[in-house]
Amino acid sequence: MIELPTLPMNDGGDAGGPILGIDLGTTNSLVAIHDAGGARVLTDAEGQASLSSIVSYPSDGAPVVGDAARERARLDPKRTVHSAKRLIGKGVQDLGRELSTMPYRIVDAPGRSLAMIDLGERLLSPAEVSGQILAELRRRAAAALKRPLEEVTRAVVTVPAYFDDAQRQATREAAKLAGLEIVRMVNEPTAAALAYGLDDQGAEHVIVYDLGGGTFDVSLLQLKDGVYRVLATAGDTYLGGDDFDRTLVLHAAREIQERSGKDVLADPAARAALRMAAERTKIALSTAEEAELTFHDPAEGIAYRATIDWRTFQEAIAPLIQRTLDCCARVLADAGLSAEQVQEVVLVGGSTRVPLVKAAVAQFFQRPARDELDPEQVVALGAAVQAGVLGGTVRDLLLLDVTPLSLGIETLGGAVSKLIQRNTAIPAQAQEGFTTSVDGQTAVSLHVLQGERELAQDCRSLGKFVLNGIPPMPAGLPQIGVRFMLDADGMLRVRAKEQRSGVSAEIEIEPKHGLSDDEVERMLTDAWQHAEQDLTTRRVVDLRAQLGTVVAAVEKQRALFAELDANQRERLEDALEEAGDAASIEEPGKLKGILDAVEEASFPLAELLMHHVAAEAVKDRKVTELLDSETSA
Amino acid sequence: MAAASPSPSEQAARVFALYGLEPSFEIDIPDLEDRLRQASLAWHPDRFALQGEEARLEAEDKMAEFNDAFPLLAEPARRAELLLNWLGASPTQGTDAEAGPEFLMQMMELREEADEARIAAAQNPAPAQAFIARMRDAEQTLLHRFAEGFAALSHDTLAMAGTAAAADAEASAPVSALRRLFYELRYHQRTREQLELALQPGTTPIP
Repeated sequence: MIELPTLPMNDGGDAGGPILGIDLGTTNSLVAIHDAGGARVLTDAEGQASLSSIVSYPSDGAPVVGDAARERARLDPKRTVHSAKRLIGKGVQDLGRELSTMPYRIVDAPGRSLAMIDLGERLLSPAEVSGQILAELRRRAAAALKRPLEEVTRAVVTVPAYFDDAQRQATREAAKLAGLEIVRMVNEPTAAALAYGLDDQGAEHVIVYDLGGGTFDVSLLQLKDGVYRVLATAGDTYLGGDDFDRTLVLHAAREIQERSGKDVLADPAARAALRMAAERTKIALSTAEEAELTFHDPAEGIAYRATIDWRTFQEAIAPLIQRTLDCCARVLADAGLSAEQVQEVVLVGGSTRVPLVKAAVAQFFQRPARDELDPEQVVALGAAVQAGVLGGTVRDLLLLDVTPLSLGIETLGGAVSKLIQRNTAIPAQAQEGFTTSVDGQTAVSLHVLQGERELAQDCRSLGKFVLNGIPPMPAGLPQIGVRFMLDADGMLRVRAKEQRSGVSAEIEIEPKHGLSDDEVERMLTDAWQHAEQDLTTRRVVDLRAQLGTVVAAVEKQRALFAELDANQRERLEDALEEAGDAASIEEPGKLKGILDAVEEASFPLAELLMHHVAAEAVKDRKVTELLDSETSA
Repeated sequence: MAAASPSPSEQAARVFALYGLEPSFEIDIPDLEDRLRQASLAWHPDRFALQGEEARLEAEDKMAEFNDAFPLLAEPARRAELLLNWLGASPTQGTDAEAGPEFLMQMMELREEADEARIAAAQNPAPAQAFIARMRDAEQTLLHRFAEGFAALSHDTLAMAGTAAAADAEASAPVSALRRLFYELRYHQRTREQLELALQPGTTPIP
């Protein structure tokens, strides 16, 4: 029979603090937790669950995250970053049309294919932007769970199933910048399936159709006895609801150009505003037959208003939806199943709210699709369930995922030799032997690629791996065994060994898209410095607020000032006067001094007040009554 | 010196043993899936997520072994190849010539027919679909014959399989016949898969 492990498994203890479940989305992000009550999304102080994945970098202050940043998109479009997830782990040449619709400037990092946002005074990496979003979610979770921030350090973070190694690596770096260790990366559609808990409901084959703001994923799962086994997955990292918006933006821009001769797309602020208007129109079209798209730009003298009917919108987005259905056909073919063999279809992602999407999916699979869980929360909830599995609080459930992309190495002539095929269950490994071509050669270089295409130039380069330290031997004699390991996060590790000498070859990876360790270090240092600055700002704000409260309370009793002796009154008035200058003081120490002074000077007033209140309370009451109320209190 | 790596025959024996199975062409897929589930519940690295690097890596290795072995057992054509390895008649050691001129002729004709169907498919996909269906039927028949041939192997042949010696021995006539069946099967399968790939509607290119 099958050999069983003797190692201890996860025990459900909370020694290392909670494990968060985080959905780091293109447009919105959420954090959830799994505890005794099951999985639930954690909200901010105002009860808001979703955080806009937007970070604004004012030239004169700390970064602003979420809705506040969204507000700044119009004022400061070049320093307000949305959709950073579309850039993460990519080079400028990978972006194509992405570039033309982003209001901020994108350039490659010097000497490397790594897209960065150009803020003018410095380059900002998309990982830093995602790091700010993750840091905000971490703070929010710590507050909601009433845990100190330093105890909240671990998370399960979801990524699109189609994220390649570089994108996953960059996501991991983003978390590190936010002070979070990613215990596990889970593919978004798989997380959604966990949240639905469909295995209790007798479904054997389930399709998860996940159309978010920027990416599309579809996964086919087999469910049995608490084991969620992904059979196949497909997707498109360049397809999402933002593309629906874009069709409307381009439509409006064309009409504006025809009418006024002005190119609104040339101006980043106007482009950002038009994009937001288009998004509102799209949302309105989910429930109405027609909706207005209005756009004003007083500076340019443009006032645009158009009525978009449901049919026009449908025609515009139909080719995009067809692309998602092609992916659905591919997962079925890969798993060797037909549409009728699928018992459940689950919709995930905000863009599945578009009625045409729902209808097209239902028609393709010949059954109504399920959408009873909030499509924007379901991924975060699933991540929390997976966090429960890892922490040991969820014992009867396991997720078995696959790699969506084949892994290969470049061979002579620029062809690709596949080592691990797409839809292979992970963790997976492959061994390959290499040798030298020149006498005495001590190093061999491997070009590792990800993708389905036949030629290396059409696949995604993960980087060049250099095997050093091969003992000098005649050409062809060394036998270098290289082991490629794809871990449960879908990330690659490479180990190499020269078989004849038994020497382990060292491996160096040139980061092609990711950040070097030095860069991560530098960013961490930056983040700490910012953190200190942020902390100071926060402290100043807090102290001013406290001071305000105390001063207001004292001022309210101004009528009693007359009962203080002259000395006491003078000290109090002096302290209040100094407090009046608080707005212009930035130093926490000074503010604290003023606060202490006001509090001390107001003691006599407080005593006086207590006498009054006490006198009021005992009036017309007997001593025994007072004693009774004293003891029963 | 590193230890000599196990022969293909020994490796094949290990694949069956890993899943607690005797080498056989008859494999019950739901039962095999149950075994994968059991193994996953026991060995998946998620079960050891917080147990430290060492435990997690050990689990990862073990799980990867189960994952890698699964398709070799689950897919009939790959299982046939695995059994040939086990018998010491690895298909990579044989040559097409072994299959005989008649077989090669037949295969060339199939290839031509597939090409014509592919070109015609732009106007009319029916011949291509009919060709694909015919290939599938032929593959089923070949797998059937393989299963029968394997079941009819002598005790002596089976007794030697899975050992280091199996790889060195000359393949017996019945085993050679199995290997020829496998070549034929693989040829049908490849021809069909290439045609299917060419016909796939609007395959989204991978960025």
